[in-house]
Amino acid sequence: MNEILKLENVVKCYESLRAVDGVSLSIKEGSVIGLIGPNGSGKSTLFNVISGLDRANEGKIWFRGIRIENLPPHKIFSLGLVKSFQDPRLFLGMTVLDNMLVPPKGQKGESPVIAPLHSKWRDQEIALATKASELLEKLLLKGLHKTLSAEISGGQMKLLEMGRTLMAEPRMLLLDEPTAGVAPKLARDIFERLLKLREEFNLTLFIIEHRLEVLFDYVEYVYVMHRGKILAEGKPDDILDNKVVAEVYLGG
Amino acid sequence: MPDPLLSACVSFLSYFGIFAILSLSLNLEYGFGGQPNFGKVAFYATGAFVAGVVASRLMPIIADVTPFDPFSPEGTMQRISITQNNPCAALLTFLAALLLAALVSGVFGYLVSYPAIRIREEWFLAMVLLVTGEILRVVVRSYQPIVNGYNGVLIPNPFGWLKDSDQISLAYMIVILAIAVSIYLYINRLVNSPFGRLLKSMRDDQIAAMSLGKDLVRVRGQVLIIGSALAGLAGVLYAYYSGYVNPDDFIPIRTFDVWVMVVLGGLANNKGVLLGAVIMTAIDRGTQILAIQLQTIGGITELNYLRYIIVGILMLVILMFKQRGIIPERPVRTPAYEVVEGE
Repeated sequence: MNEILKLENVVKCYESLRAVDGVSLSIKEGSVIGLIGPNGSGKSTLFNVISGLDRANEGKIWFRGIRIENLPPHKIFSLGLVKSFQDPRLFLGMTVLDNMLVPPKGQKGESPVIAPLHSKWRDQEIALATKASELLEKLLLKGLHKTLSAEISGGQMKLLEMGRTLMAEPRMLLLDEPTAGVAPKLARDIFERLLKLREEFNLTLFIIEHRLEVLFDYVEYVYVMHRGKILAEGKPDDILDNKVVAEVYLGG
Repeated sequence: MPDPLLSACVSFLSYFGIFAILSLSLNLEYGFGGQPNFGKVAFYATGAFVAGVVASRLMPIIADVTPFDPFSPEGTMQRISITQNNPCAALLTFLAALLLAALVSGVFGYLVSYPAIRIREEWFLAMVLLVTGEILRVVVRSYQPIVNGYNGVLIPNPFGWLKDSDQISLAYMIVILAIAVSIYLYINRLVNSPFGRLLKSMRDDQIAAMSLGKDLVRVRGQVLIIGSALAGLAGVLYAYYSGYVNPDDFIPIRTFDVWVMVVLGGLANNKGVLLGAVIMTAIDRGTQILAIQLQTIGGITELNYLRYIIVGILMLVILMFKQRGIIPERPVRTPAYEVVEGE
């Protein structure tokens, strides 16, 4: 399998704090990889740097062979690398369906010159709406199309964010705590659905997760971060047996 | 209809048309796009200044006569005589002013916002534009060659060739309303589209919109160009309506009048915004007429404060009881919903 994402000695500093301190890693296409570590170890910062929301101070990042560490977020997105947020960041003033219709690339009607000429983008709009509608049905969000996204439940918000991400036809997802704030039973449910979607859409998943007992059942390989550095890496079983990792987690 | 009532109606509708264009354009920028334009007056003023420049410099050229010094009494008389004798030149000048004002205001809007829209914190933009408006007014009132500094410049109504003054203002009112209605229809089509969705996503969560591949710097630039160009049109219409371009008309409070219309009527709802414009026009014209009436019977002399008191109370009431405005926002309407409803 090909390498899809590669980081080489990535550093991100906030004044004197080295939030990400020389991280190197490599992820193969189609794999499911976990990223764990105590709070404040730099996991979310690393995701922000990869997706372009924050800029790395040093280091190189390749996505599908293209250097991306200096690209703006929308360019990185268009290469197929999409990040979801720890708390769902929905467009709360918009309906569920409209949330789904924001991400697709190349929408003709997004140009203010073409937007008033409805016939020029009508067909594309209907095709996207059909796709969104099918995806909403799969995510058990059918019948909520016209509901404002601020008015659905927390679990539904998580699902909607997942659906919204998939509308972008990503190659790789960066998922920041996909099960944060949901009931333990639903957490497994979310992972099951993620893996199903991964097969269907041929995705690579890179997941930050605190629920190790759930995460370790689904991922192939795990990176452990501590104080901005990669402390350990390996298969889930090896990580569980790793004394240093246990110390970091217990010692906090 | 008795004459005073007719002219009051014409004046009301003319102001309404101008306020409607301003509030629709701010609604596009802030209601839909979340871009807080605290410098609306800058682009409104730009339109009026362009009208002043076009009327004073371009009009003799269009009419093919030797121009006098535009700010001399002869220059003013020349403009009036061209208008009365050459309807074609008068209307062409007006049309040129509209086109140029939209162009200049749009470009100006893009240039002054260029640095600020590259920063994620949108209130920088608000401050930059607020200051721009005041700087522009002070520069134009002090630099005589543009529109004769604080003395201003007289520009005759494009329908000045009609026989009586009621006809002139009626014809001009129809033009204002026709432009306002076209802009309303245009903006409605513009926002009920993927572009409208894009604007709302930027407004609701710009980090999420960026990480979903939206080039927000570009979108902010686009929305400010459109909003500023429309405000420029309103500026031309106002300048020709009052017959005079005076830099001191364009003080910062004009911006916040427009904000009141938008917040009052309903953010991101074009019909609501029109209602807001109606209410503000009524308060503006009502207190004006009342002030004149009271002055003639020798009562209170300074009634302008009444306007601010009424507006202030109205804003408080709205913010306490109807935060989303009189007519709240509706979802974007695109053919996407036909798919869902067809199921």
